[in-house]
Amino acid sequence: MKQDRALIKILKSQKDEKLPPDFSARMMTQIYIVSAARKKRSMVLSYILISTVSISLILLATYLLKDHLSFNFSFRIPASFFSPQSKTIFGFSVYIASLILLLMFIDRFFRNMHEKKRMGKS
Amino acid sequence: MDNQDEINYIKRILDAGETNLFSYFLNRYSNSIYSLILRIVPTKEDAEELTQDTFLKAYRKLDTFKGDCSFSTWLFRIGYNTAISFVRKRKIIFPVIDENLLANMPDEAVETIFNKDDDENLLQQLEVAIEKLNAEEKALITLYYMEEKPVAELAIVLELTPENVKVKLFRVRKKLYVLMNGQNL
Repeated sequence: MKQDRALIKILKSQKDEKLPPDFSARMMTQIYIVSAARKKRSMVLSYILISTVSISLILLATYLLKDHLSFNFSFRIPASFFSPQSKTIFGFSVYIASLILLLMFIDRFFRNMHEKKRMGKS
Repeated sequence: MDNQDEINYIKRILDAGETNLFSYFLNRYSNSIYSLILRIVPTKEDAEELTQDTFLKAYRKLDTFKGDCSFSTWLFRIGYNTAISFVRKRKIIFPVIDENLLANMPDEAVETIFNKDDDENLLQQLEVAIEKLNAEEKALITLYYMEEKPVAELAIVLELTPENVKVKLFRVRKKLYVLMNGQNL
């Protein structure tokens, strides 16, 4: 059948019909739009899924603890004993941590001020 | 680039989000798909729009391509189904020929006439006869003679068995012969 030369000649003559030269570029624009929409949809879906699963787990845990295990939600802090020496070390650590936080705050404050001045000049 | 390379491209598009690689498929197959659709639908504008639809559908369904046939065959199937849906919606009517007439047609006569590729008058008649074929028949001869697709791949595109494809190919040739001779219309 492949020797049907007349048929082949007629059909292959139509191969000269080509799409416009910008067809691929136009199509790729559409493909990028579809791709972006698909990514957005999958992101929204994953957020919905994660939220649903998280809320379900929290609700399930609350239900189990409250109704089935008779869990008392009032947290009890165990009685602790601090020696005077450990209290001093603890106090010193808190003092250092506070100083670091203060210095970081001051640094941030001055950086912001400098940035604002620079923006104002430009 | 062979089928395995194309499958790797598809994996990269799907897994790594390299959407730009799809342009390779557009550049390679868009004109072939357009030629097939142009054979089936009446106007160039419709054919261009349906070619666009075909590639958009292909991109959306890319994750369903399993690699059990070549990517071009899969793409031709989408293009063929898109064009067939369009033709069905438009309710385009094609001439029907008596089955007995086709069955009694001598193979030798058909063979002889289709091998005369230097008779302009005959070629013109053949062109007119091809236009009178139905959408499936047009797709069949386009893919077989123009795209040189093997029978097994034609079977996948048209969702037929390979034996059925062979039978239909013989019937189409006889139908063209009848249409060229203006019989039973």
